[in-house]
Amino acid sequence: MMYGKIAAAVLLAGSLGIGTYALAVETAPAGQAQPGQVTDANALTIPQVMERLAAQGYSDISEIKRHRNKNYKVEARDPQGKRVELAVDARTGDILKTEKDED
Amino acid sequence: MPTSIPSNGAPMGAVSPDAPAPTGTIRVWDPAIRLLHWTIAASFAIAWLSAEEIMPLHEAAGFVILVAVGLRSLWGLIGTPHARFADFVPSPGGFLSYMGALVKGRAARYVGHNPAGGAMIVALLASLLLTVATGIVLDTGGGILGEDAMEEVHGAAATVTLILVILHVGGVILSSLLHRENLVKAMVTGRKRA
Repeated sequence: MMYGKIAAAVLLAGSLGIGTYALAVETAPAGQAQPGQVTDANALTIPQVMERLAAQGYSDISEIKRHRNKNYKVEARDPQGKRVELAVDARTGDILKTEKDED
Repeated sequence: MPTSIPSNGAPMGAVSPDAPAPTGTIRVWDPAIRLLHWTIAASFAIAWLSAEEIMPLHEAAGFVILVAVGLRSLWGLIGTPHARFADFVPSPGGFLSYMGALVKGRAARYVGHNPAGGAMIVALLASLLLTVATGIVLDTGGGILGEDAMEEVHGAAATVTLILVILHVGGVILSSLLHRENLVKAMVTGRKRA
């Protein structure tokens, strides 16, 4: 009996807490709410990112998209000719992460 | 923990396998339980499939899950008798003794949730909440863990939830076979053999 009431109460409190947090961050003024995000004003455009990657020897870009408004996710061929997936910093154009592309 | 539920005077677990039941069914799951159950099931499927692909849909599904888990927990405190967590959440000892009986094929039949099902409900709801919570933190930049680590945590929480769903479905099938009743149908109609 006791376990049931405790479990239900904890789950209810958790839901309310998470819901309150979500409401707070979603309704907070833009710019404050999402510290990790880059506004479009100081982000590189897709052509700029492609140009920088080409200058570093990347070719055959098959996909490029903004990932959660923060980084660019790029699928391309690296200078050695292997297919890779890159995470590119939207502000600086630095390659943050390189993963082998399995597709 | 329900220790004895008389079922037509027969001892628990001794219900005749081919007993005709259409007239002997009772309403066990109220409409709120059934609606919340299938809402959560559908929303989790949508959230899983849309992850990293259709983010607005993924996030909407997550919020639906959050609200549904909250309502289910509230209903678990103030709802109809078989909806209340006190009706089915087992003590650790009660859970273990039920699992022991289950592996020997001698698990008792419960009209409401059996102890393993009751424990699974708590595990599933908790895992869903953790998945939603990590998803919300991820959406705001990953919190103190940062985006990459938070992405891993959120993915792991979702995977744990999926594993629990698979175990849950397995348990439903096992219980249905063991007691010769269609528990999936019962979660649709709300009715079970008395």
